[in-house]
Amino acid sequence: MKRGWLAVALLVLMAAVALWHVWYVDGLARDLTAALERAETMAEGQDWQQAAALTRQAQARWDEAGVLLHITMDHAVMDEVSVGFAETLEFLELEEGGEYSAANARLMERLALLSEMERPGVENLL
Amino acid sequence: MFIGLFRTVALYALIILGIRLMGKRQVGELEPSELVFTLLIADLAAVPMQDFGIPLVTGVVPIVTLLCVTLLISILTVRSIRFRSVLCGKPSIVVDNGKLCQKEMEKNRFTLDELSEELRIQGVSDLTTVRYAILETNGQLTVLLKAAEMPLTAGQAGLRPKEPGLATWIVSDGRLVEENLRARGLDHQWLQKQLRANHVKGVKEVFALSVDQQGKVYFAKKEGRR
Repeated sequence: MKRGWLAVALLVLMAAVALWHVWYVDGLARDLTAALERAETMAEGQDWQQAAALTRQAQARWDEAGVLLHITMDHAVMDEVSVGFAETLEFLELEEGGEYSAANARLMERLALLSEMERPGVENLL
Repeated sequence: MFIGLFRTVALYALIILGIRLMGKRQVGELEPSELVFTLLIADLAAVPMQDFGIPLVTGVVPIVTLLCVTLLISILTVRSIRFRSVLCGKPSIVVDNGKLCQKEMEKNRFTLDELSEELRIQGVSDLTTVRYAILETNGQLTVLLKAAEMPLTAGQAGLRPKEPGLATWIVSDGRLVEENLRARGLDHQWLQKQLRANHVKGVKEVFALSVDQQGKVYFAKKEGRR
């Protein structure tokens, strides 16, 4: 029976870690999206430097979480977001309003999908 | 991660159900849960092994989940008769006193040809000599003959043959198994005597040498390399 309890404990532990991971990814995606939205508002007001600074901050936060997320999530999805950040920053530096807006929207959508992918909703579970 | 954990448990349960519905013949020598575990584990390990873009965790989590669930299932099958019968099924009597139980055979999709084959494998050619033929939960057929058809045993004949006991390997492929020699209460002197009696110089020339509890020796000399 000792082994049985060990199995139950392991399952509970894995479920807890998995749920924490859902919460973590959701929080990360929400924070990054909020920062990118703020950057977009700044860019709309022609404050390109502030918009770039906010996007870089978000990118730094993303890079910090990168190690954990690369351990737990599909690398292709992670790479898409990393590329999205680089693309958005490039358009910001070039002060290309329309291109930046489209790239930023794509990046925010990727982050939303990342969070949605982990959420234990019916669409994912089934 | 959570999705992986949930899906693993759900698919595991689904495949067990599928295997149960397929009947005993599909199981082989394993119980349904063991068979499903065996089927899934290799595939799960292979995916992150060959695709480096997939994190190792996505393979590890389902494997550990399967291990835990299989362990829990095996504990439950030991503890609960009802759970065991739900998971593994119940043995089915397909021949009762020489008579075919057609309903049970149909239920288990066990054909007459398969029954004949199993009976032949077990050395039975006449169905009327069978008291019971039982299709076990692991897919094997147990055949019990009628009392009058069973081979006469020494006990029934009033004989008391000596128990040969378990034979132990003293020399295995040219190597002396000291532990077994000591366990049998024998020594090197006895071994040398056996070697001399079989015209060999040392254990390296012996392929197999065993001795049972009655002291009966089996000897096989090593054949020359081809």
